[in-house]
Amino acid sequence: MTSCDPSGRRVKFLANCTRDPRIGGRQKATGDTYHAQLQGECDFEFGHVARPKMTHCANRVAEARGSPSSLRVGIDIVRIEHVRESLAHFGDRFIRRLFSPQEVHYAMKSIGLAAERLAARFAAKEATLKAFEMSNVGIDWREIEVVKLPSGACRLALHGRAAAVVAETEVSEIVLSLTHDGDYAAAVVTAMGVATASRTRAQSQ
Amino acid sequence: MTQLHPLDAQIRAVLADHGRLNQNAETIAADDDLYQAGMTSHASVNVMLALEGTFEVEFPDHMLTRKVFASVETIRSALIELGVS
Repeated sequence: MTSCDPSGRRVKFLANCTRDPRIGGRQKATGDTYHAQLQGECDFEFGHVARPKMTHCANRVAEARGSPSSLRVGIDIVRIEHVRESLAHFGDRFIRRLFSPQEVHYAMKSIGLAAERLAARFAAKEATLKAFEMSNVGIDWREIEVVKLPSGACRLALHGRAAAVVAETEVSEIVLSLTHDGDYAAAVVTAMGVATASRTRAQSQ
Repeated sequence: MTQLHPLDAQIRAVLADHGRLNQNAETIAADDDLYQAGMTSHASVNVMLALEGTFEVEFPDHMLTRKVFASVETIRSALIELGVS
């Protein structure tokens, strides 16, 4: 149990994603690109519907007047060279403050791509903060973790306060997409509300 | 004329080195929004790490917010809260 989780329940949100076969051919040339599937795997109970104020960095679409927020989007782009400079200047301190041991392990497996991978992960963390309007909550960056599975799939794992904040929103599914190419790395996080997700599934049947 | 706080010179030096501002960090107003002055989220992390090194403090989680690093003034307030004088 953590101070962010006063109820004692486990608050953790996982959004699974897999390699998109449509872009598989480009991945070898341009780096890791992931496209998330909507699986909505989560293991927390939904709390009340949070209605935070709109900010400059989060886009939300309400389906109808008075309905809860149903779609959240966060995006971030990072210059890879700037991350390389941070690594050179702050070294281990930069890594330890921002990234989980698993993220570091994956990034450092290929020294030549370490800055690219860390930049993409930093972008994912910032995109998540924007999508859930957590920029002023006070979140440890390591609580927003990009997990890469041996299969090549990746997922977003939230811990501690970040997971608690997300648990308070009416979100059932999170989509994460990462890319890095040339000078930049970028990430998009999209989250769908319960009502939207249910309706989308019903319409597709 | 606004009186300069003794901490401001060191804060501005950190901003000049790490903030990636599109304005002169030495002359930017203490309450000007640093993000509007070009500081990115990644640059704000560098500023945070540099401030920690300069003032030998560690920003706790609850201070890792956009608001804390939004201006010279808010950074100064956070440092004072951390016991810097």
